[in-house]
Amino acid sequence: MNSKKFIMKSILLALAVFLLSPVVAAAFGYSLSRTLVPYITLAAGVFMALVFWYIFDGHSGEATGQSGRNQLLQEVSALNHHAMVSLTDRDARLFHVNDKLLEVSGFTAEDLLGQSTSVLYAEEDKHQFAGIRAGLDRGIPWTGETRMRCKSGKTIWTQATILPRLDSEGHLIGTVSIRTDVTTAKINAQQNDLFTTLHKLWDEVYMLDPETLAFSYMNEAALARVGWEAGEVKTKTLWDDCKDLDEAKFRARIEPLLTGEVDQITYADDIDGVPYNNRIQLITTYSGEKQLVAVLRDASEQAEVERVKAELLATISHELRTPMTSIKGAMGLLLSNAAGELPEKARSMLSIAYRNSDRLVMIINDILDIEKIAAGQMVFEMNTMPLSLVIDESIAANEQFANRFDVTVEKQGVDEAAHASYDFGRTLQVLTNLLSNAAKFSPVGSKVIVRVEQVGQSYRISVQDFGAGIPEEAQGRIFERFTQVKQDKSHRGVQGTGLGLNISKVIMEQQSGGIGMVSQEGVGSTFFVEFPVAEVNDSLQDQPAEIAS
Amino acid sequence: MLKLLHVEDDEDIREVANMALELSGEFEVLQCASGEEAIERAVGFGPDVLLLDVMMPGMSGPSTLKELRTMEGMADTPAIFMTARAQPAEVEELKSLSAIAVVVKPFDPISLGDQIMDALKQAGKA
Repeated sequence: MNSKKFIMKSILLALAVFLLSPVVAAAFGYSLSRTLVPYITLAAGVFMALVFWYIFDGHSGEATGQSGRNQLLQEVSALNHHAMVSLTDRDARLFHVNDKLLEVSGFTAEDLLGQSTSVLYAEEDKHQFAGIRAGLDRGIPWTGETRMRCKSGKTIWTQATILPRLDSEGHLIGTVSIRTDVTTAKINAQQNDLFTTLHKLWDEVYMLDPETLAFSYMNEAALARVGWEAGEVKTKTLWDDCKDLDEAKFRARIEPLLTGEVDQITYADDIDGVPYNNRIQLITTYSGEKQLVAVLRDASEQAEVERVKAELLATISHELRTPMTSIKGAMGLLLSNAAGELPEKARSMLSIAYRNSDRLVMIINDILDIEKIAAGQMVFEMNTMPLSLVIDESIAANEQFANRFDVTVEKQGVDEAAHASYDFGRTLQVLTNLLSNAAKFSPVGSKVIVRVEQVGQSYRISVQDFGAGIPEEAQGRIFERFTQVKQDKSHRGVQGTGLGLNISKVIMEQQSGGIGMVSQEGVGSTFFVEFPVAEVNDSLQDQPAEIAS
Repeated sequence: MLKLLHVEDDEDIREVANMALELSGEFEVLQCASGEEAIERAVGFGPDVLLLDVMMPGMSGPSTLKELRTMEGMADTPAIFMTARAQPAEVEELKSLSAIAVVVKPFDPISLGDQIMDALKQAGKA
């Protein structure tokens, strides 16, 4: 290349000297022979040709040469095949995008050209845009991973290099971005992490197609139960695991997942005599496939713990109630003068002890109920019957308690025809709770009124007292656990557990009913429960014969 | 006066119940500390009503009732259980053992006599 350049320059110099010689000769007063004119004209033509060749071909040849130019073209072509290339102007507007970018993103050139390059950023990564731009403004290239938004809304991971294009004074006049799609590698890496974790879980994990119910994955725990090798999984379907699968029932169960109504389904099941707690979710994999992910947890240990806990609680309950029977019984007899008239001071002290023994029994009962609710073991025997049955029973059961506070319970407008479906014992417990609270918080000598009225499609049983009322700030949490309203000094001896109203709320909810209250300080409170109206001709069941103490 | 056979292993509860039943004035009471003792003395006493604790060492209340039912004159004697285990399922199970009622401990000694009389009336036995 250099020797060519030397020869070219030498020829040009010689021709220049030859062409300039007549001009120099004329300048010194010599004239040129006419015979020399054709030679000079020829030399001028050759000179011009060589200058044109040098400028338009020879000069670029100096920079790259023909093979270099081809190499460059090949490199650009390879880059265009491999990577997504885009160019922006100084305002970050796209003015060139290559075919690869259009192919991968799904956009057309018309969609992109003239738009800010931020249109290619995924929503999650748009915050990166300003930072990258700030670096480029200072002439600093940016390299890193970024998510690119495709026309379909899908996001792909790219490894990007963004170079600033600067003018001679170092001002940013645009950028060159080169992106490579690394989604597959990224997915593989993430999936590997996820599957390594999933594989070692103690719970059984299954992935299957929601349409064909063919398995695509099982973790170690799942493989251990079904007895298959990992390589077999993709040849199996749900029918291979559950021979007596009720397909219609299973499809009905997963339907709310497929319609997007719920994001997970949980249910208890029994597999080969072992209790399981199952959870199914619908996920979209990185590759865009819908898959059911079922997580099965062996609940036998949990069931055994629950059984032992229930047994322990029942035993404790029994062991506590037995001495309480003697304590409360003995004090009750003494207070009734069964053993003779008591001195007033002794009666006063004994009354305190008796009230507190009552409280202790209440605490035991409430704790047992809370445990039963937590364990889902509170059983309801729903029967359609008149509400007056349970109202009468609750008033009778609370008569003695109300008398203690010199409070009279009055029934108003209780319609004998008002029927609802309810558990007699549990509803009695709720009404007893409301009536005893009303009595406790009523002024001496006042009334507590029990009413039944129809409100829309429900019957409302309300218990109204004329006590101090509940402060507004306490009303919002009155049905929460351990909530107790401050009592005046005259009622200190009959403090509750703070669990009664919460238990009542749960009992009412479990019976498809509700509970509520209205209260005004200085006027009184009305607590109410509501049951859906039941058809009067529904079968009337016998009321249980249990006698509450 | 109704003859009431009360079977209860806890001595204190026996004493409280005895005083409570005396207070009501409706019953002539025989108390036994175990199912075995009750079986031994029941025929001689000829009870009109049985009041049985459920959980007792040795023979339980239900086992005692089962045995008493085989004895002369006691196939239909109304029986009432007393229990501190008052889960609805347990109460139902006790009622299925030919008992007319279940009294839950701790019971109210003042109204115990009335509760028993009410249960007898409801069952048509009084």
